Amino acid sequence: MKSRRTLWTVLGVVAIVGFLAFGFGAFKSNLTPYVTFEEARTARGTVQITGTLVSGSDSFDADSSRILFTLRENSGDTMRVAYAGAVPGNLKEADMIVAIGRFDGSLLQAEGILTKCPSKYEQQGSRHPDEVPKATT
Amino acid sequence: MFVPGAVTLWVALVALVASTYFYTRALRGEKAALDRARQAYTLSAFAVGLATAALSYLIMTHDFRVHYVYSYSDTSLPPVYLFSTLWAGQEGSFLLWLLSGLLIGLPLIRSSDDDEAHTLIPYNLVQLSLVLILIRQSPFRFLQGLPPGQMPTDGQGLNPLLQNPWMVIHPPIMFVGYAATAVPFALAVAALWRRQYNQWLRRALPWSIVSLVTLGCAIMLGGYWAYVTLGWGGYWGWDPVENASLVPWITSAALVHGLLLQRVGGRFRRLNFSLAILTFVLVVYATFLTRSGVLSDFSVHSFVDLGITGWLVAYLLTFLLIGAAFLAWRWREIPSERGDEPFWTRSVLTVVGIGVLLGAASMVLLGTSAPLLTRMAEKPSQVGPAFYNQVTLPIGIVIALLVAFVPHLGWKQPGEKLLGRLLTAGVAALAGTALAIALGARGALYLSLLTAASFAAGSNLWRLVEALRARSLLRAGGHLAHLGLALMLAGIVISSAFDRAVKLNLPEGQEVRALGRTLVFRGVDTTTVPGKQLMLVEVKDASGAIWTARPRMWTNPKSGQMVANPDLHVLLSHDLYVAPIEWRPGRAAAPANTVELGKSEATRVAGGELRFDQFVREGTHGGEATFSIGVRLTLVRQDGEQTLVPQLTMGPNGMTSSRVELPGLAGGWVEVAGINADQGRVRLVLGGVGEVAADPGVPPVFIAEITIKPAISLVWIGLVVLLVGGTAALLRRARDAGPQTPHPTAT
Repeated sequence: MKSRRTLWTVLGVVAIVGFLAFGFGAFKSNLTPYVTFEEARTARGTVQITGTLVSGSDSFDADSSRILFTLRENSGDTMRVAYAGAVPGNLKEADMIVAIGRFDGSLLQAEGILTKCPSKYEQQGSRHPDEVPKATT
Repeated sequence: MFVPGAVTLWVALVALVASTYFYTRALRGEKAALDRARQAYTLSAFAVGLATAALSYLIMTHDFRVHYVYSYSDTSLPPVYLFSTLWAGQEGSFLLWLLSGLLIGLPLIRSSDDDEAHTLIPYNLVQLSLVLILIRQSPFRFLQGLPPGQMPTDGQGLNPLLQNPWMVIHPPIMFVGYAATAVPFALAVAALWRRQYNQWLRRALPWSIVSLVTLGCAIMLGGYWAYVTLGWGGYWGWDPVENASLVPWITSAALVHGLLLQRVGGRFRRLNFSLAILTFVLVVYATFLTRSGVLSDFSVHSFVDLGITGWLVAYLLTFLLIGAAFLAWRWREIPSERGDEPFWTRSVLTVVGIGVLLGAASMVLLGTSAPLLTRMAEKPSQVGPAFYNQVTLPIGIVIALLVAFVPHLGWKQPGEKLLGRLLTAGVAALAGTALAIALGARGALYLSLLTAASFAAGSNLWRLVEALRARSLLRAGGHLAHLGLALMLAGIVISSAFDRAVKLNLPEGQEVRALGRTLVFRGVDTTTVPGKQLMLVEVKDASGAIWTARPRMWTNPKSGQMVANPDLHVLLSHDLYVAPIEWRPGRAAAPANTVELGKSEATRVAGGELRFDQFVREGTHGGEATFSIGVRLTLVRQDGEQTLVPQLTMGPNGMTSSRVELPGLAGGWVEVAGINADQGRVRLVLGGVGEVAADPGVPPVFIAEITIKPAISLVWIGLVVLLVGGTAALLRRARDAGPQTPHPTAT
């Protein structure tokens, strides 16, 4: 009786440790640092960058079935991004676009993109009282 | 500040403080204090009800002096969407959460016996923290800097993506679920406080099922909304906001199962106290993650830090400390017994299942917290969907296997005819898998999950039928919920692992073959839905049946930006999903001797070519109401280049063009027939230069992503079955929890 309980305890501990090792391994191998465009050009692995869409820069390349667009970050630096996956419908509506991928020397080859859409928890548009439209009573 | 609204919030605050104070006096046995405490509590619920009514009134009457009303609504919204802006912003959603919490407290008080004061003191603390946030960040404050007596004529409106029926009901359901997690928390704290380690679960069980069902329902609605409006083709993106609701959902599921175990065997008391406290603390943590702005660079949702980050951190620590302190205080005293069941019993597998659920919750939590954790050490980093998929796939397999075995087992002994039943369900599972392989499904892990899920579905369906024959529908809630879970897992794996997608260029009127179907883009419908362009795509399948997809591309008038919505054809076996990517207007065919040129483009003329350089604004001195623009052309020939500038004049009598002779080409001339300034193109008419090839034009092109998602209906059907099963279980447990019930007996 006692030895069976010990056996189950050992098996349980092995299962938990194994799962944690597996989980943390997957965690470490999937971490993508959030970097500036300049850092992205020299980074080795997968990184993620954030910027605004340069308006009118997006186009669809039918041959490679990719969408291409240019992001501009706060510093003014720009980067061309190529993405072959499913394009979020609010790409052009988005305030900010996050692209996750690798820089191949000329383009950021994105594996995924996130669009930061205006959400429930966002205050839309003008935040400053000066921008309040001229009023009537 | 809208004073009546602000007053109601202050009244609620004072009443809650008073209620808590009287409850502390009731702890010392003052009977009168108990009545006062209840009256004060009811007053606070009434005051928050009034506050909600006041905010609704301000919204419905378009009082744009109020910052909240101005920020989230406008005069063009239809009434239902207008009303839904009540919970479209931070402040409104906190108000709704608070109202749900206070209303849930009323039956909680009624069902209390001598533990009322111990329960309501921690419960009131939760409501107090929400009132304080609302007073700090009031939904009733006015826009700053507005001249007295004036207000804006219109508000900024509701994000068009949120103007969707599912998004109207999603937040209220979610906040009922969040609010309900405070009940098991308060009951657990009270039980530890009073050293009554068993009785609390009778009342905690139905409320934890309420959380499980409402959070599940809200998550489903959110996923369905994303699927039908956003156009990326999925329903779950492992975004922090989504995860923030998923983690408490998983721990709620663990809690429900733990409470059932304790109810049956009288054991696992420590586990259940920990789970009840953990679930609530995770709700606070999720609120902190999603409302404080800490993840703003990592989420697809935009968060604005409203200055409550510090408060949320303080709340998180407070409730964590309260829970941990009570647990630590009584930990050694809580009776714990060792069980001696064999492994193949429902009890042991349920414990394993709780462990697996906690493993899943901790991994999702780890991934969601990655930016916070890594920020301390290095550059903030995050993990993408790949991490979550990798980790949750094996967890899904284990859970499906557990759910497959459990219905055939007794709580204390392996069930009768166990082997025969398992074999039958197993054969069904293998048949299902073989069918999937025959249909082209591959991948060991996917197929394992599919097998386990069909195994689980078969097992639970069987037990469900047995229960229905015995006419005990309410007792079958668990089987029904597990059947739903199995169907959902199968739907998730089939639709995401075996979907087929293709991006297509669809020139107007031309048939394009893809995915075994013939697609024709029939043009743009601008009239059916005002303000929205419907792209008409005819899809003919192999049998000749035609479905016309109407995905939308339109411009949000508030932001001036493009919004694209997909359209989908829902069938039981698969969905056909058409998501717009781009629409190119094309160019009309031009008559002979007319050419259309973009900047730097050239057309051939005798002995050389004529190039369009740019528009020039020289010589625009027409009279009033006339405007003329020059088109600078360069005639390039072997003997040199010459610049020509024909003028196009737009006046009250229409457009006229000057005719410019082509030098060195007797009788040759050029005129401007039209311009398109947006695209930088010009249309020229050439004369006396012989034949110039006619421009055949370019048809409009619609670029879309077409996806076939097999069995995705199973995801929604499974979720609905899961929730119906949960509701059946809730009805049964709520009946048990009624005050007239004698001591609960094990089932």
